Amino acid sequence: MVAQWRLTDRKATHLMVDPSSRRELLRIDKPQFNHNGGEIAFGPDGNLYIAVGDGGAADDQGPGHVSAGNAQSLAPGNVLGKVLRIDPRGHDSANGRYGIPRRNPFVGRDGADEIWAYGFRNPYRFSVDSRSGTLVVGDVGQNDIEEVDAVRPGRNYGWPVKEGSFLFDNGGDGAGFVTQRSPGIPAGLVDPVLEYDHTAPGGVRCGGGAPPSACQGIAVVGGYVYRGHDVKVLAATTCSATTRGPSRRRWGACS
Amino acid sequence: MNKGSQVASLPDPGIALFGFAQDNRGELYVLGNTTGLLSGTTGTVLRITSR
Repeated sequence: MVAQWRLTDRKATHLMVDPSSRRELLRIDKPQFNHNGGEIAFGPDGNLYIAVGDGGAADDQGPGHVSAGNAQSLAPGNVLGKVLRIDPRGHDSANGRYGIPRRNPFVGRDGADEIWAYGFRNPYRFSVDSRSGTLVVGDVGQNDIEEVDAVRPGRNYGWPVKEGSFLFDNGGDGAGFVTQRSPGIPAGLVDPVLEYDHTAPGGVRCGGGAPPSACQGIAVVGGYVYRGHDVKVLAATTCSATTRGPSRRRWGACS
Repeated sequence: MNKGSQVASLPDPGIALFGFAQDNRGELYVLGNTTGLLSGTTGTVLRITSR
């Protein structure tokens, strides 16, 4: 669900919302317990970007998922596994509660008008780079590959055909798994700008016995392009981090 | 075997990390807590700085 509140006083030192001003913009089905709504953020264009998971469970299949995966589906109304862009000030959406920016990439073609990009598993966090305007999405992987994507409108970021730059087999009734690295193939799927795996040198799984110091992390958070001045070594790098690990300690990663 | 890209790590912030934030100067902040749970009173906002 995405809802809107108004501030009581935009010029106040301590900003507060007016609880009575709540206005619901949209609701999205939640087929499974996980991979739900993620980050929401305004872009420099004044539009609202909304990250939505693939519907949950695993492998982008099962109850609540379409046969080739929600993330790859451009069927009418399927917004799971997508990043959406809406205009909260407009009213030309199907429910009349928000607007559809007329330059959204799927307006007038197959795919929900709200879709900005697709092919995501769980785009839990993202940012809009203040200088380039690029959407930088951290897409949480299933069991093997975490990825950060520099997202452009209308593009397909691969899940569940790929997990990161690796081909993904959904395993049928069993657990899905990656097979081989396949950068740029199949054509039409955009590979991440940054990826890391769940395996430490020597083949021990992170979260399965590998020492935290040997791991790059699990469950990516991010990413952000550093545009500050205080930390010279990070200038113009993309930063992400991991949310879970055997020691419950987390690390940032910049590339 | 590491199948991914090379990344450089920052020092362990010592918290369960749930998100980043960025101010209008472009500086980055790390948001999390010390329990890794959604409830409690250990929420923390850290700013990334030079050593």
